[in-house]
Amino acid sequence: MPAAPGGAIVRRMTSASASAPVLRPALQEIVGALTWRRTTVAAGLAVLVAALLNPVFTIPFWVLLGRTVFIAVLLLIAFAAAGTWHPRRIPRWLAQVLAVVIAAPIATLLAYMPSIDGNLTNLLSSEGRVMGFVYITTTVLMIAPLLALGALYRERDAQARAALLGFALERSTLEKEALDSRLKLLQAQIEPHFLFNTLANVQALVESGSPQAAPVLKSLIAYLRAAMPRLHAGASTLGNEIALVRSYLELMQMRMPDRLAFAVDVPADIAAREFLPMSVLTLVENAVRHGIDPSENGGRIDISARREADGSIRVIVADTGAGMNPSALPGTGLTNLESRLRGFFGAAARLELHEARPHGLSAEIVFPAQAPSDAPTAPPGARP
Amino acid sequence: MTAATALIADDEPLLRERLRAHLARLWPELEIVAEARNGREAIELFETHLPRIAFLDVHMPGLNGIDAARAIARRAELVFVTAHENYAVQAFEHGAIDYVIKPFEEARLADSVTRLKSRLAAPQPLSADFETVLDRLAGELKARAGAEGRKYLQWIRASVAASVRLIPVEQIAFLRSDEKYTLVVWEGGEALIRTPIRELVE
Repeated sequence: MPAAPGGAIVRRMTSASASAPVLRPALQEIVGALTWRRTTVAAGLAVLVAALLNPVFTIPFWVLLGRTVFIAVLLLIAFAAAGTWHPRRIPRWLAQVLAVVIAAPIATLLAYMPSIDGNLTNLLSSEGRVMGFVYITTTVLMIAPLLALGALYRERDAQARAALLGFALERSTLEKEALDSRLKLLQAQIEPHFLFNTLANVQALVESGSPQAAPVLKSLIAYLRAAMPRLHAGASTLGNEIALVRSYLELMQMRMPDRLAFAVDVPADIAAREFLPMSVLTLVENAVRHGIDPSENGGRIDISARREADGSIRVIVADTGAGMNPSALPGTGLTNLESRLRGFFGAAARLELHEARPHGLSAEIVFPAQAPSDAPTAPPGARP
Repeated sequence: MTAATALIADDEPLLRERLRAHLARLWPELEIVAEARNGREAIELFETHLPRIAFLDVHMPGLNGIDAARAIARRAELVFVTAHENYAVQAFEHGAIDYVIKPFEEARLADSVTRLKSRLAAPQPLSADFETVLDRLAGELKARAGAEGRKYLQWIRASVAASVRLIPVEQIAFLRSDEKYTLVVWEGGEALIRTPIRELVE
């Protein structure tokens, strides 16, 4: 679910919640709601009401204007203050309109206070003042709620536009991430340590005349061809990716036959799916580098794929190696892979890491079953 | 003069075999008394056989070649075998420690053999900065492994259904204390863990 518009997700750990000064943010919110536009409209309407009621009143125009402006300002503040209050039972817009309706007679009464010396009987005893009070209150009650509704409508419109803008921003961020990660992939080089150690092993096989030499060279060529940076690394199938992973694992098994065992179990119908190249390989390389290689006894790597109950597909790389140190850096590989996955399969795709028992790690790619549409990393027909 | 004896330590069996085969051709009198698959085995086998030479791969699981070299110290002639690790090669050159780069050529190994033979005949003191170089290399290897150096928490272990998930700290939206537990909410869901926030912060 997308975050509510305006409600930014709090990143990182917040050890203590801000609880102390609640009043100040509320006050700031009220002042923030008193926009120039609203103040101007309220003042303009106050002048208009004063002009309309002037023929009915005997008092000078500027006194009447003073009263209507005073009322308008009070109602605006009531409207803004009700906006900061988040009632549970009734919607906020209703609270704000009700606040204006309730504030109207009170504000009018307050406006009369100076002329009646704060004594209510002075108001009730004068028929002219009672009539004036009723006139002003009625006019205000007719105009103010409509005005409040108008303001609320505009506010909602602005919110919708902000949300739309937020979505567009999120989308372009996602696209940029996908592009960045593709660039990183292109820049990624074959590790010299891996290459030279593997070549040393091949050399040993060749020198001893081992029949293993030819198949191992074939695996090395397959791996190098796939791992070589290239410009048009578009979509591939999971089957192709698994073949590459197999080449890599065969090389590693030649190098550490006593420490690495592996098995691959991917059903044919899942293997035929379009897939993000170099994704499972990243996980398998990680499993070897951080799981198997640091462990004296080594371990197994099991690669499997299955369809989940909700139709999504899960590709699993499980190792029984050393496991993950909680303070081990995630490495660019995994972070990069996650954004590439989202770029290729959409936002629903994810990378999960599970701890294996008694030790080891299971890295799992989960993606929706539908074919990826408008995927920025997969120009159609980029690769045969 | 006692017989020339050597220990080979490398985690990759084909490379142990290859080194053994080339040594047999270049120096038939040399007796390989033991082969080790990691640093721990190298130290154990060294203590058992006390060979006069140790060929040590730098990168090995568990204890690496540098760790083994520090344990053996000045009790044997050391030759490091390493695959294209610039920083290590520089350190060896600087500290005048013998090394061979994998995949090695026989001529290069022959040079080392010549040097070893003359050293066994007339033992020379190792360069004074021998330990300093090894200490620095050991530190560098650890930093590269990523386990040490930075100690911040990067992952949070949390039980989700029947499995233990590892959640990258950067994906966590917030943590909330609940009497006994801590609620972890991240991009992909939420979970309760037993570790209090106070401990996580540490």
